Amino acid sequence: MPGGGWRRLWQRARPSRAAGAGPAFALLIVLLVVAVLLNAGIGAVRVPPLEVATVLLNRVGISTGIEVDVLREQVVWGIRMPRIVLAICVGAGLGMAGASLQAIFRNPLAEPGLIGVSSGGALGAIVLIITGVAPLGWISLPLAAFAGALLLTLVVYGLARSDGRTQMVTLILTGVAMNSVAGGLIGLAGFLADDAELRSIVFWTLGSLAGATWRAVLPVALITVCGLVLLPRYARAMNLIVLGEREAFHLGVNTERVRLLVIVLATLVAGAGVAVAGIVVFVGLVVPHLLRIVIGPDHRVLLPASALGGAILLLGADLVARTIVVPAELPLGVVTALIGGPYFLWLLRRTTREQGGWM
Amino acid sequence: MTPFLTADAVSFEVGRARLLDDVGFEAERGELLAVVGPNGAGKSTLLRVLAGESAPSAGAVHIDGRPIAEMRAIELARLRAVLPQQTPTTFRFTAREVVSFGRMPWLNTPESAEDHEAIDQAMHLTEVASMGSQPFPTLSGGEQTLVSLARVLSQRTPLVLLDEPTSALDLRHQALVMDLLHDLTARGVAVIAVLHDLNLAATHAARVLLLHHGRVAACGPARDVLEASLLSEVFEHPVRVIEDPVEGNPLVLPERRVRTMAG
Repeated sequence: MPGGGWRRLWQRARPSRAAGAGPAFALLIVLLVVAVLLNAGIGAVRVPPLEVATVLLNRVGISTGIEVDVLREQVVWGIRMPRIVLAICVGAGLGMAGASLQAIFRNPLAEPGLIGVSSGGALGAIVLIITGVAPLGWISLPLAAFAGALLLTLVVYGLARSDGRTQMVTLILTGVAMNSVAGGLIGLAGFLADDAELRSIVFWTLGSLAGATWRAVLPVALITVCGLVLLPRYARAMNLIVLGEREAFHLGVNTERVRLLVIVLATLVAGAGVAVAGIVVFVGLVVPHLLRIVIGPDHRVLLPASALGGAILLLGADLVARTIVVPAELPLGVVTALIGGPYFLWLLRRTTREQGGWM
Repeated sequence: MTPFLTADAVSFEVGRARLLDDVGFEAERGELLAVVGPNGAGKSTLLRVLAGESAPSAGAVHIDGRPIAEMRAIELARLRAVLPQQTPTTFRFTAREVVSFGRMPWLNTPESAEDHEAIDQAMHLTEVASMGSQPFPTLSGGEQTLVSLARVLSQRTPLVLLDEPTSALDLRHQALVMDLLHDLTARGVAVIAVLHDLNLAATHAARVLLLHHGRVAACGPARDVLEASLLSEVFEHPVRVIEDPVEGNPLVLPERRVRTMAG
């Protein structure tokens, strides 16, 4: 086949911009691997990258023949890896949920927190902390948080609907109102709480990965993986909705159905993370914006890239959170807010200057 | 044989306002039907109802003998393409990506084999091939209209609905678009276009539908509908209708108002 034919086939096989996304994906994967090695290696007990890799390879059944100290293996596999997996799940979930919600709301401000996932989750957890009941043992707390996230999101969605339609502006404003109510209730809980309860409440509202154990992480990982697999099925529909709601319908998208499914899936992936890590701000907002500048708005590429980007950002933030004030630990939400806020501002100014507009 | 598109006694109400009132007409394949009328007459509302976006309060629309109320979004998308007045996206899809979205209804069908040819042809016809890699939001209003029209063409449907396709365009591109609509009708497509410019309607449309306060004031060949006394009443402004000395079609000229300001 002549060269031109091959090129045609190649173009046919790939969407126009995805070709430029190849290097970006390679870079994201390299960054993720580096972040995992750093997070597994840095801390009170230092473990060099080679040993980390050895431990991980041993665990998946590949023998390297290199001996690793038992203590270090325990530190890497027993303590740091659950936390790393949790960081990846929470970050990937928030990143992809943020990109998806920004698409279906056609609004750059959309993120899981806006429609009530974060405050609902915190509220669910706090109700349990204050009342002190735990009918299902250790899993009661994450379950309550997850239920709270789902419930508040559905309440927001339900209140914003009228005549079988959802006005996006109404939905966002309803989210703002319900977040304010939830924030007030959280404040009230803090006012009523004793010292120990107050510490738990702070944990939920500022976010932390310190509670990571394999037992707590696995359900989160399961839910996150489901969401990460299912959300990209709506990537094409998201592209059309982003073009315009009317246009999407003209081009055959059942917009109401896609919107409801995406909201539920985004709440699942983001809520699963909130359930064990509390409120982690800015990841769902910043990551999709940054990646859209690099790889463009095609959601077939943007969704997986946002998942990778969110995971990397959260690993980085957690590394800072647990190493910068040793032996204490900063709340993760504090780090993401302090890094994310100014960074977002810079991004906003740069984009406005260079492109004359947002996105 | 039943007409390709029929609107039967279509009414559309929002709250107390009746935007469409007992509107009925037919459109055939291979025909360009122009919808004209003053601002607020219900032209865009009618187009939304025909597109299946808004369900009528009463009455029904049939395409190809089937009621559109019973069709799924994807079925409709394979029957009709719609050009809205403007496409509001701020996301930086390239012009070519936007055009390629017109092929989405044909995903996973045998027709998707035509995807690249349909996109290339549509961009060539609308003269936007050279803008392929430019971000859609950075294009001018007229360029955006042409790219959106290319998207509509690439959809390759037997019915095309357009809401003021020429309003953002200069003289040459207005002519280009009207020629394109003629080409579509020549290939058996039914074209329904809301037109602000009565003379474009008079020159190009086989039939004209005149809306007034949500009702059909007249519907028929341009020569019959574009008549001075009727237009003067509907538009609440005196007009003269003369005959184009070359083509022979009617030309509508608004009269100058009596100079009340000067006294």
